[in-house]
Formats: sequence, C-alpha cells, structure tokens
Amino acid sequence: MNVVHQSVDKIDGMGSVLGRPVYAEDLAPADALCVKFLRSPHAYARIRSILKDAAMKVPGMVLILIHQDCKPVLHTIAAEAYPEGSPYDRYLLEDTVRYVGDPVAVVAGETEQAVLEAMRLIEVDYEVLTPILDFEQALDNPIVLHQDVFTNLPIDNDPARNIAASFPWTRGDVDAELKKSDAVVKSTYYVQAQLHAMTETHRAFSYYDARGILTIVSSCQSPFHVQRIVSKTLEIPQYKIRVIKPRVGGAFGGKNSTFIEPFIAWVTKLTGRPAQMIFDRRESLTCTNTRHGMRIRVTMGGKKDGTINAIRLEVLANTGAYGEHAIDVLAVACKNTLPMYAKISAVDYYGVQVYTNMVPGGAYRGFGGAQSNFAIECAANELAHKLGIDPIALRKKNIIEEGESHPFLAGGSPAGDAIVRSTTLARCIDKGRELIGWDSKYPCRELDGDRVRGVGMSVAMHGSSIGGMDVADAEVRLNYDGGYTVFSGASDLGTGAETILCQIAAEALCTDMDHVWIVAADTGTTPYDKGAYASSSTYASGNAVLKAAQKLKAELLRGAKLVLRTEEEILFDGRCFQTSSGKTLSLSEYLTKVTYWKFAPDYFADEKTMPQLSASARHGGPTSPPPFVAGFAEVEVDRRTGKVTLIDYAEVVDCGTVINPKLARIQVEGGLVQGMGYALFEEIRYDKRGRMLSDSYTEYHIPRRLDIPRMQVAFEESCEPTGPYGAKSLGEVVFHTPASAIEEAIYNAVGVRLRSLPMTPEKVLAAIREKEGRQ
Amino acid sequence: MIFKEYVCPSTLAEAYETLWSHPGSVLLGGCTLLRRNTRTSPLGIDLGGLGLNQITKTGTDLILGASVSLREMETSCGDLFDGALCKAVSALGGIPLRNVITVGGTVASRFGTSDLLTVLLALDTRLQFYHSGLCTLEEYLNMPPLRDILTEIHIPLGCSRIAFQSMRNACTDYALLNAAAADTACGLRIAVGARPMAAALSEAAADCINRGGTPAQAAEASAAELKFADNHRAGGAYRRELCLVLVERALKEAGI
Repeated sequence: MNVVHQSVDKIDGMGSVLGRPVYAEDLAPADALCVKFLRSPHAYARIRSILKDAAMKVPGMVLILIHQDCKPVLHTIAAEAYPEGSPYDRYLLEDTVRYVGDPVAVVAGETEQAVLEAMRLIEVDYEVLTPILDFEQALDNPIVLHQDVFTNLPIDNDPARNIAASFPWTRGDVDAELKKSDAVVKSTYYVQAQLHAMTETHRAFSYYDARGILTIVSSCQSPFHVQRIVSKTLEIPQYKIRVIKPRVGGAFGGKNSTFIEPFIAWVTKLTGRPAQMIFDRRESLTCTNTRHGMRIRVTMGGKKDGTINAIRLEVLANTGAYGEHAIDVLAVACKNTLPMYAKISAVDYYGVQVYTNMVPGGAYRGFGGAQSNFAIECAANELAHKLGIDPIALRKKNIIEEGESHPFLAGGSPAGDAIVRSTTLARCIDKGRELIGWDSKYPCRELDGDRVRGVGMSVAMHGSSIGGMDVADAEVRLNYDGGYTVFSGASDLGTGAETILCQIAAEALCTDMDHVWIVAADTGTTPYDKGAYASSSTYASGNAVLKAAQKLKAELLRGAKLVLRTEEEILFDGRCFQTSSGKTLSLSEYLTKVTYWKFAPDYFADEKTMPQLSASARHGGPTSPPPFVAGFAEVEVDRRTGKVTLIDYAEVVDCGTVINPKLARIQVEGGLVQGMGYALFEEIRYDKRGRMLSDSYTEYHIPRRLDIPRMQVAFEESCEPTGPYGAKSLGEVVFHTPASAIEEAIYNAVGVRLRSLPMTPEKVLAAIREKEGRQ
Repeated sequence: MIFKEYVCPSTLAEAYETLWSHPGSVLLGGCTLLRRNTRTSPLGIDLGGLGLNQITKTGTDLILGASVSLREMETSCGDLFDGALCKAVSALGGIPLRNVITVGGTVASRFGTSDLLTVLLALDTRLQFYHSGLCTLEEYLNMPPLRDILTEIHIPLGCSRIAFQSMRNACTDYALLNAAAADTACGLRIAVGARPMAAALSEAAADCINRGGTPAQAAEASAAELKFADNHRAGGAYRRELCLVLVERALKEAGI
C-alpha cells in the first residue's frame, strides 16, 4: 500500500503549530455577546425566586434568562444517535438544581466584565435540600432526585428508586458452574470518577448567517446530534440550524454532551446577535462530566487446568445528577470486556446506574469498559495465583481466538453468536513479555532493603464503533482541477481522523495525500455521521469513505471508457488510464474533455456530456470487531513510604491494519498516560456539601512527563475482513491495561492486593502494614 | 483577583505607609497564587519598583531579596547548601512557574506544604521586615499575622551539611510530608514540614543525635514529638509513618 500504512503527518498539524486561527475562539465574531452561566452553589436545592433587576442595570448587560423563560422540553444532552438510550431527565433550566455548578441563569452582555459584575448582583433564593453524596447510599434512598423522566427505550429507569438505568445479561448458570470450579476469586473493586482535562476547554459560539440560518460553531464531537438537540429544545426546524465543528483541542468523550450550544443559540435567537460561551478551566473540570465512578463485584471461577469457567460481574455506577450516558456505559462495561474469555461456560452481568447530587457521569475513553476491565483483569491475575498457574499462561489459555464466538460479542443475533474474525492477542502477549524483560524480572527483584521492583500484565479488548447502531455516510468527488474532495461528517478531535480518512481515499483512488482534500463535520455541507465516539472514526467513517472512493473509481473508469470510446478492459494508476491495446489517456486530459462543453460533441455521441463525478456510500451494520491489547508494567515500590514509581511499560496492540503508524503510536501513548493517571494519581475530591474541590491542576494531578516511564509501543497487525484495509480501532482500548497491570506488578513486588483506584502511596503502605500485622 | 485601584510606590516607606493607611490593600509580588483568588480588594500595592530582587553574599550570609524568583535562586545558588535550595523547589510546577514565584511570597505566606520553608528552617534563616526588623524564621512561623513588608531573607553560610527529603505522589504534587536535616554553625537542626502544618524543628531528634543516637532513633523521636494531622491529601497517621522514613533518610544522606 502506498498511502495507508504510512506515517503521514497530520494534514493540519503544521498549521495548528504555526498558529493558524482554526479553533472555535479564533473564529468567533468580535462583537459576539459574552455569555456565562450563573451556577448553583448547592448540591440539591429548589429555586424560590431569582431577582435580576439590579444585574440588568449594569452597563453593557443585554439579557438574563432563567427557568421561567424557557419552554419546558424534557431532553437529554447526550450527543448520541436517535433514539437515544439516555433518559430525558433535563430541562434547559429548571426550578431545581441537582449538583454544585448546575446552571441557574444564562447571563449575556457586551463584555466579560459586565457579565461578571451582573452575576454578582443576581439574587437567588434557594430552598436548600439534603443531597445524596454517596452513590452507595443512593439506591432506594428516601431522598429522590427526579420525577419527570422520559425514556425512548426500555432501560429500567426508575426515578423513585434513584435508578437511571440498569442492564442485566446472562448466559448459562453461573452458580452451578462455580460449584465445578477448583478455585474461585470473589472481590470488590472501587474505580473512581476521572476528569478529561482536555487542553481546550468547552466553548461554542452562535450567529445568524446572511440567510437567517442559526449557525453554531462548537468544539464538540457530534455536530449532527448537537443540531438535533438544539432543534428540539428551542423548537426550531433542524434544517434552519447549522452546526460546524472547527479544529478541536482534545475531548476524550468530555465534549459529547450539549453543555453550551442550546444556550448560546437561545441568546442568539432572542437577540439576533452572535453569542459566545467559553468555560474556564474550573468550569470544564467541575461543571461538565466525569468518567463514571463504580463499585464492581467480580466472581470468577477457574479449573485446575487454567480454564476460566464462570464469571459474574455486578456493577453499581454513579451517574451523578443526570443520566445522559448511563445505559450505554453499563452496556459497554459488559459487552466490550466479558467476551475476552471465551472458554467460559456461564457468564452473568448486572449493572445499575444510580442518581446522586454529584457532577454527572459522561463519556470518557473506555466508557465503562475501562472500569470493568480493571476488575476482571485483577480477578484473573488473582485467580492465576490461586490456581498456581502463570498469569500469562492463564490468558493464553482463555482468550478468544479467531473463529471463536461469545454470547456478549457485538454482532450476534438470534441466529447465532458473533465471532471474532481477527486477533493477534497471543502474539501481542508474547511480544510484550519480551519487551518488558518478563522472564528475568518476574515476579520481582530486590533493589535494597527498602525498594523492590515487580512486573505485572493484563489484557484488554474494546469495540470498533457500535454494532447495530452507528451510521456513517461519506461522499467523494473528483474535481476538475484533478483533486478529490472527501465529504464526511466525521469529527477529528485532534485525533488525526481527517488525515486517516484522506489516506484511505488516496489509497483507493491510487493518488497521494496532496490530491485529497477533506470537508468534515458540518451539518450544512457534509453527509450525516454519528460523530466521534465509541472508536468509530477509522472503522465506520473510514469504511464509508473507502466504499465511496471505490464507487467513484468505478464511475471514473466508466467515464474514461466513454472518452476513449472503448469497451476494452481499462487500468488506472492514479494519473493515467490505459487500455489493454495500449491506448492511453491522462487524468488531466480526461478532466479537460469532460469539464468543458466545447469538447463534448467529440466524445459524447448519445450523452452530450458527463456530470462531475461524485459517489456516496454508507457504513452501517452489526459488526464491531474488537481491537486487543496486552499491557506489561514494571514498577518500583518503596516499602516504607508506599510510593509506586513506574519504571517501564510495554503495550502491544492489535488494531487490525495500522493505517498510520505515527498517529497510532501517539494514540497509544496518550491512552497509556491517561490510564497511568487513573491507576496512580488522579482522584476527584468533594467537600462535605458536595462541591468538587478538584478544580485546578494544583488539586487534580494528571501525569507530567516526569511521572511517566519509558513507554514501549508495538503493533501486531491482524487483518479485519470487515474493516477499511483491514483496520479496526484503537482510540479507547489503549486506556485500559495500566491500572490492572500496575496492580499486579505491585502485588508481585510486595504481596498486597489493591482494590481501589487510584493506588496511592498511603493505600499501598496501609496494605503492606496490614499484611505485616497478619503475619 | 480584582483591584479597584493600583499603585507602584518607589520607596519602601511609601509602600509601608500605603499598606497601613488602606485597610484591605494587598501587596503584589509574584502574584502567582493571587491569580486564583476571586476576591476584590480596594488597592493593590506593586512591589516591583523597590529593588528587592538582589542576591548578595556577605562573609557570613546569603541574602536573597524578597522579590528574587525561585528560578533566579536556583540558578544562582544551586551549588550552595548541597543543592538543597534547588531540590526544595524542583517539584514546583516547572520553570515557567518558578520564573514568577518569589522567595518572599513563598516565605511570607507560610504555606504548610512549602518545601522551601522546611529547608530554610533547617538552615536557621532570618527574615528582614521593613518595620519590624530582623527575626528568625522560627519566630515568624509562630507569630500572629504580620502586616509588614518582607524585604530580605538571610541564610547563614556556616552550614557544613544538609539534606532534604520529601514524599509526594505525582511529581508536581504538594508534598505529603517533607524533612530537612542540617549541621549548622549553631548545631543540628532537623525540620519537618507539610504535616500538613508548616515546617517545625524537632528538638528531640537533634538531642537524640547529639547523645549518640542513630538516624532511625532520631526519626522516632521526631515522630513522637511533632504533631501531624489529616487533610484531604493524606491522613495524619500516614504522615507520622513518613516522618519516620524521611527524617532517617535525610540524616543518612547528610551523613549525620
């Protein structure tokens, strides 16, 4: 392959680095109104009254909107495909606030100073209510958070019990199987909520264009769903709204909800003026969404020969004040992790999401799969020790192989379970073992009396897009200038998705990156795409682009035959057509002849001319082929302080064909760093009244370069028959392994099991002391 | 932070007089943490024109002007005191931040989590205030709030050995505990900070060493003598455990 499989630079990389104005704030009109939220200081309260007269007198103030000003339209802010699984449990503004930071008023003025001054003068009278701040106390708590909730789909939403959603799935009889197990591990794990901490905070602006179309430019992940939600909440037809995604400075799932767009659109609708809202770092961290914190109980049974014969997973998850991504996270925690172990005879999953007066849970890289993978892999490592079997051998004995099926794998039907069509996980494990130096380091090596190093490993899988739900359309057009334009609704979040899509098109059309241009993520000009979530940009959007490019090429060959007036077989190398008898025609000659009317009579007897060629295609279907990874960690534990220092990490990835090795490598490193932060450093703290204290990087610690060890990244390519050029995905799966690999490395070093994240020095030391106490 | 008015005095006398005649006024040095404060103050008094950014070495002392940045201190004084001054600030955020943070701001604010305060306390540092004159850092740490202008930090040069140890989770996190052990001209000084309270001297640890005790025994004495408390970053019991380790390691590293 000439373009796919090459480490092509990001098409907009140099431009971004050189400061081209491509981000939302760069593009906002200079006279846009500054819009901010007045936010609730209480975790749970009813608003008795809001007095805004004094605030409106501040010079430069234009508009203050409160709950009485909005038509109560129940909706979800989850930017996901319709019909959403998410419960509709929000209004734009309401007389009830459910977490510290919940918006109370929309404040719009000519300048930021005017707005800040006005916000100090708005008087809100709250009836403060007792909040639920512990998710383990939420179920059937007499304090109830929601009354009006609408659901599109049966998700077991039960507001009277504070249940946002539940998801049960079973195959076989786990209890009967456990009786046949030779060893059973039963453990409870606590995995924490996590902040996205993307570089560019949340922001968007809106304006009426010259034709009166309400245009929104938003740093978002799914412009089409934003369009639909704004249409619904403001009662404007969708075709009178246009949403454009500009260059985005990172999201990781955190921008997959409509925190801002309906509100600025509301201000623009009422004033006729452009409006912009930018969240500062504190707001982005504390008033948007987090990874769902969970308590996960695992029961895993295994036989003497190393077979895992039964797994039960019970998940209690904290969806916070609203349930936007509640059900999907529960489903992913089941379907994107449990199929890893395919020799299983019985598997049982039950997950429930409860409402609390805390910052809402949302989409975050891994989306439930990361959390449940930690519990499953820790249990698998523990089971290996209990059975006296090497943990690597246990994995190789049980991991799903090509051609094998699992009842929970996406793409199954009543006719039969789905099968895995591509995996090199066994090779990934072997390679990772070699890279980390497993054989000379397992299980541990003493450094001095105080410090010891240990190694540990784990595996993970995920999905590639959502089978049976995701839709991506694409159009590829050949321009008279000899270049191609790809039209795709896909959203590049700084991930390099646009580069990947151009590579795929260039490969299919036998051309180079210079000749391919992409227009993306604009509801006014590009075809529909479900947006950037669930690791779908390469697999779903890429498949659509590939099919469209292939269709275009077929059309192009037909056109060349017409111009050459031949029925012979014709070949095309990207620049030139050639018939089997040796007649040739260059692409530029062809384009000249079909573009200009003057030449038409020479070449088109029956058809006067040919229109500009363009082809459309869609990806949609039941498949979601899992990518696989094996992660290996080496840590150093200071026995006396509990400090865990990362020494080395090796991650070997099967994402199918690697479309762009450089961009793939960066994705892996980024996911590993976030996973290491989750494992060791990142912890969200709340005060007693429910205010999130982790409101800056001095309080919330994402890893710095000095915290991260050498990262060795390698790929073991498989070839996925349903993927574009054999590709699957890797956006999310690369997050999963660090927490469980590090947990096992700590165990091998100092003999203690840690069952709550992050694994801080204080927890490690407490576990060491407890073990010494017992000995 | 928002200021209704802002002045740039050209003499210390003017600055001090303005500070006292305007209740609620705030001194502006490096302003690093002030940026995170959302209050409004009637007046900001900028110290930038007062020439407090000199570093001088006399026969007996290193004198740092209060407006000297941590980075200037690191680059000019890195070879002094066994590199302890550098080590004490290396966890603070990165060079761009250390270009802005001043030694005066760090010391005057008496933050519990400060690593530099612990090192300075072990080094028997003196502070020069415009109106109140000279006092020891130890005295200042135990004083009620002082409405004065810190002008200089005097660090005696007669220290033969010093070592600094700290424990933090992420590399630029606040310390969960820190300790410094120094053999100074006026004897052994062992300081423990981030308890989470600010640095304090352990007389018991110094006595122990002076009577021939081992570093481990001195560490136990310090853990018994000093107070530790819980906060949202760590528990007091864990801090006491860390004290046992960090004091011992500091003493061993300094060869005491």
